[in-house]
Amino acid sequence: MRCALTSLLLAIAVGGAAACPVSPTPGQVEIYPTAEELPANLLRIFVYFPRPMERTDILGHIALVDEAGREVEGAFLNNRYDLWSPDATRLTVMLDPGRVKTGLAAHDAIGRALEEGQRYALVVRGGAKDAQGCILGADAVQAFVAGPPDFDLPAPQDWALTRPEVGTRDPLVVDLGSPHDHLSMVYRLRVLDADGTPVPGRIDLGAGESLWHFTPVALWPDKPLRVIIDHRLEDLAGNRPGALFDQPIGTPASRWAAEIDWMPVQITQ
Amino acid sequence: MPLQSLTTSLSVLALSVGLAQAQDLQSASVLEFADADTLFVADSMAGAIHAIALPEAGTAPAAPAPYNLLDLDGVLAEALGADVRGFTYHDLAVHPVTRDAYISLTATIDGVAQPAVVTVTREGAVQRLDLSVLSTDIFTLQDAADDGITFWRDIPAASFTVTDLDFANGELFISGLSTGEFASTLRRVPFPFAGAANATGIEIYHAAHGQTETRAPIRAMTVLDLDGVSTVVAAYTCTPLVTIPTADLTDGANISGRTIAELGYGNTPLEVLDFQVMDRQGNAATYVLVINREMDADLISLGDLTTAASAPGITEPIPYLGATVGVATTPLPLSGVLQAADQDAQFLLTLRRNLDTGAMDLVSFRKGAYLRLSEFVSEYNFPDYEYADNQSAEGTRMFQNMLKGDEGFPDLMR
Repeated sequence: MRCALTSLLLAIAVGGAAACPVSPTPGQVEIYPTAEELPANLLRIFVYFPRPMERTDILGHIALVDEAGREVEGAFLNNRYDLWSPDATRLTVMLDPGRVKTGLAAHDAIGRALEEGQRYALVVRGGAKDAQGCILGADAVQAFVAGPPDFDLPAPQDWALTRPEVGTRDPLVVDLGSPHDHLSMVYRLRVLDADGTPVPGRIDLGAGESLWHFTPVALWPDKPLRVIIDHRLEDLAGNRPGALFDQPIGTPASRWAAEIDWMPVQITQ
Repeated sequence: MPLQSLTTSLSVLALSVGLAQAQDLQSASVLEFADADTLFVADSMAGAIHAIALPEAGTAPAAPAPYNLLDLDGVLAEALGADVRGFTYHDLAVHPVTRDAYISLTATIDGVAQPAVVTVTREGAVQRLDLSVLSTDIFTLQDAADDGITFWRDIPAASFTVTDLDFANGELFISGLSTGEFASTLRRVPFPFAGAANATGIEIYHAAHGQTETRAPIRAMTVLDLDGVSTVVAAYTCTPLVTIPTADLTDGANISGRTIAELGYGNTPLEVLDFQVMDRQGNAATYVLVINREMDADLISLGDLTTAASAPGITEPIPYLGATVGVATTPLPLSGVLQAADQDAQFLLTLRRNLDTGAMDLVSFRKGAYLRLSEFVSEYNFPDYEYADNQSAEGTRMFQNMLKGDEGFPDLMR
């Protein structure tokens, strides 16, 4: 299942060099998370670009704007190096942890960038340049509403699993109950057989990254399988099954959870 | 839904070792010498560490001698044909034999920003290393699924922006920040590079924040021997100082570092280095120096550090914002210093932003003094000043004469 993107792409051609694409192609920039409501203590936003980008000064082309179109200043962590994938097609935009976390000076002085109940949009400006110096050409805009801050641990014990039928390639669907970090859902969940070998297959995400679909390459076998959950799995606020990202002041030190949880996959005969 | 636990670690992510090959660097950030023949250059943009095979080293200088290169920007601009205002400096290292400065930077040449590593001698001779030719071994810091699972869209690997490197006992220690997830991971890999790095998750108690932190990355670190225990001394933003025995850094482990100090809030540590100073009796004493971006530098004696590292760590919040707690430190007047390295027996070498001119200076500070006398105007400068006729004043006069000589003003000796 392809994630339904809510990106609104504005076709505003702003020109470019002769060797550059003449007109922007809608749908080229993808922004995660895709859910319409995101927690006020959202930790990260990911931007996928259609081609390798120029690595410097990208944050000058990315803005968080409020409903009135005003830019929210100082929302993002300005690291010395921007957080690009090695191929420079994915940018991790981290909301400043000093503002996200309770008790820190920045949080107490100016608060979080996102206020519960307010509407926002992440805007990737069409003037951002790719590695060849060509501009994207069109703004990509993803709107969302800030919901309550998320201080709940991801709770795999509450997740719901479907029961695929033996001899089919029906997807195994795990309903996590709420949106989670899309990279965590890619990296931290696997189907293993009894020997601990990963079952080959394909992962799709749905419903604003709250559903995890696993379609096996081979037909579902008539043998025990399980879904394993690496403890580094995170929700949108960076909470992990073992610890909140933001441990309120005064609580005891967090403890590392068991490194991996697992759930048996029930396969219907 | 029944939920069970396994004790083994799931490893769907792998760090790979690249084959030796010439390759252009996308960036040149952290520098660290393995020995006189090999320099590590971190490419933080590409998520890789290059081992650079250096041309045959020259000879060691006859005696320790300071750098007094003011306006390094101008020196480099002329040598490289670069925009004098277009430099971004990243790191500084000193060759263990020639004591030449190695500097990683981004230069703007013909309007194009490009990474470079240059050597600079005390006389201001500049040479640019051809990294693509000299790179012999590449360690790639990339996380990618390698277990045959595919995804609905292309998911590029995550890499690792290196914040610091330290080479100790045949191993390279690597700290940094993942470009995918937010995780504090310290890696260690033997050199020559072989196999994957051991990666250990680290949590610390951050007393200034009153909480345990599992994700914030180490900003600067050094590895040294504390009473027979090989130990990482690491500084984090805002500014906890933490010790971690290297024996604890096993692959896949999640461990707690020991918070031995809170050096102050609102600060990013830029460098942690250890070095030796000869005392008046000729005995070598070891110190650890933390260079800070927003605050004074902190000097810590090895004895105090060792005591703190073997005592229970800090586990209580600081009493008020701005309080510093933990191991005793001496604040040093190294304002504007952005990078520092142990130059030789007598000097620390620094990249220092000159607060008067705004230029970058490449200047040495004499160990023990930690100041450049020529930058102060004081009572001593007046022509009619007379040193008193006693042992203390004579000591001051000789000390000041030594610093005047260091800084290129022998004519002002009195």
